[in-house]
Amino acid sequence: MSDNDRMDRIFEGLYEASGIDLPEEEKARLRAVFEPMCDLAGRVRRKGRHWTERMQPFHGPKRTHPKSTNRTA
Amino acid sequence: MGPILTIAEAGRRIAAGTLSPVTLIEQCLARIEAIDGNVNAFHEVFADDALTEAREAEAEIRGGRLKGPLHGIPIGIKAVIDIAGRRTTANSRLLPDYMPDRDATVVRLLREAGAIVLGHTDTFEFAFGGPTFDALYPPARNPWGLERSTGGSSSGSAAAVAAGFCLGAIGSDAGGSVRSPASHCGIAGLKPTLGRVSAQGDIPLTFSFDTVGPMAWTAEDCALMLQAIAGYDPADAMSSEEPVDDYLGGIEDGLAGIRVGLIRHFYAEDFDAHAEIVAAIDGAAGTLRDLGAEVVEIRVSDVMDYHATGRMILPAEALAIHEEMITERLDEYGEVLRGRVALGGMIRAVDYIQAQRRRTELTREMDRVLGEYDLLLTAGLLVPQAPLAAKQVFPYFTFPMIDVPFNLTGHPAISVCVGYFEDGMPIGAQIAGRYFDEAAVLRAAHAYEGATPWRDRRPDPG
Repeated sequence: MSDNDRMDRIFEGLYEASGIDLPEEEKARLRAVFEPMCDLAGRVRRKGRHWTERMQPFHGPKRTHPKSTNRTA
Repeated sequence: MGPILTIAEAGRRIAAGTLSPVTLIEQCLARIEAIDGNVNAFHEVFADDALTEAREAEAEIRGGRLKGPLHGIPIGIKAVIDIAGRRTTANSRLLPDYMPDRDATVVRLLREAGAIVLGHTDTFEFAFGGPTFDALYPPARNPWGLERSTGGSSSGSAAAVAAGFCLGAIGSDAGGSVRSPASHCGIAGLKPTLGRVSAQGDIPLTFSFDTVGPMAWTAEDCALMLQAIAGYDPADAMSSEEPVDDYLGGIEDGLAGIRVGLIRHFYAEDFDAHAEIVAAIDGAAGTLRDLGAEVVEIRVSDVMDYHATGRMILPAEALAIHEEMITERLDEYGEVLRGRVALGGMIRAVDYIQAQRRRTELTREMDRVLGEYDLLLTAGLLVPQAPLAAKQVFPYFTFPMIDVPFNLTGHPAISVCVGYFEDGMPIGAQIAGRYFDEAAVLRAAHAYEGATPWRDRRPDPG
């Protein structure tokens, strides 16, 4: 399978899964930028990135209510 | 129609009793009536309400109840921001009749400061799709060249301020939507620190980046507006409890001893910006140096790294917001918007998460640099204003988004006018600063504006 055929298959799968049914001309325009977009997706990856590097935003819960107390006498 | 005043000057005259808010509103309305047919900055002008409020303001001020420097000042509001009882359409055929029952927090705060809401200004459709001729309203035109783009998405706010239809305006910025049109239209536009200004009542484009900010002719005017709208809002989950600074108190303090990092490689190496832009930003660096700042050329990651990260996160989040509507009502979306939102469907979950991890790294990098430097300077646009008729669905595969680095990192950044192309169109630069240090950003921009002649020139869109 050529690279282009492979990209066609990936694109078609993602496109179908999106549930958006664009007119043919607009779908073709989307397909034309799919490879450049995949290049950008490659750019956000870094070889050897440690698994502790978190995604943003990262936070833990803050207390939103006081600690419960036993209501029985 | 009278001279076009800055907010600061109009505020001084109103406080001194030499300018009536009614006269000021009438002048703006006359300018809109005469010229906005060329510019399309406003979707709707609230003329009757504005005049009524101006009369009330005049009576209050005469009665010794001046609320502050925004009392009686006409402000435009981007049409993605709720105004109670007014159609807030996001310039979309999907929302022609959406009428909020309460003001967005930023609108409420402006009213409490005495400002007069003059109308809803043009926006790219849902702050994402534009410029385009198939949205609910025609696109705003650049007052410096009516066949040229205003940039976006706060296109009408920038055009309205540049044309003198209102003295200040509110925009929203998730990927440059305050700073890009400010640069394109030759005005000042501030994206505050993420969470500094409430985004409650702003129709969302993203979950990660949406920021509301002031747009005006000068940095000082942005400071006056920011003073009124900054602060914690429990209605906005992103809102910060960090105390609000005094943005005016030190605005005349100048730049002596300030360290500025010049990120020149963004516009001179990573992307080969137009030569006149390179010269203008380099010239701005020289001016800051002349004003006493220590300006040092620095390096951070390639602008394409910031751009790539933004391009993964922004459309994916936009699709999450629009998914139900776009799959059910595709035909009501403009062509540009539906293409950009559909692009979000091509981004896999793992791409999105890796981008958010890259954002963590880039944020750390930029914040580390801002530990060493007080301010950063770089370009506010990379290419000249495009022809308005050029339908560019995916321009970001042609050139990077120069404003997006500070959306990713959340630092405050202002766009200021740093000169003009040979054809007379304006050029903008960004000055960014430390978290919640909008005061330093505004001080530098104000000093720069005072040292250069660019604020003396106004467009003539009539």
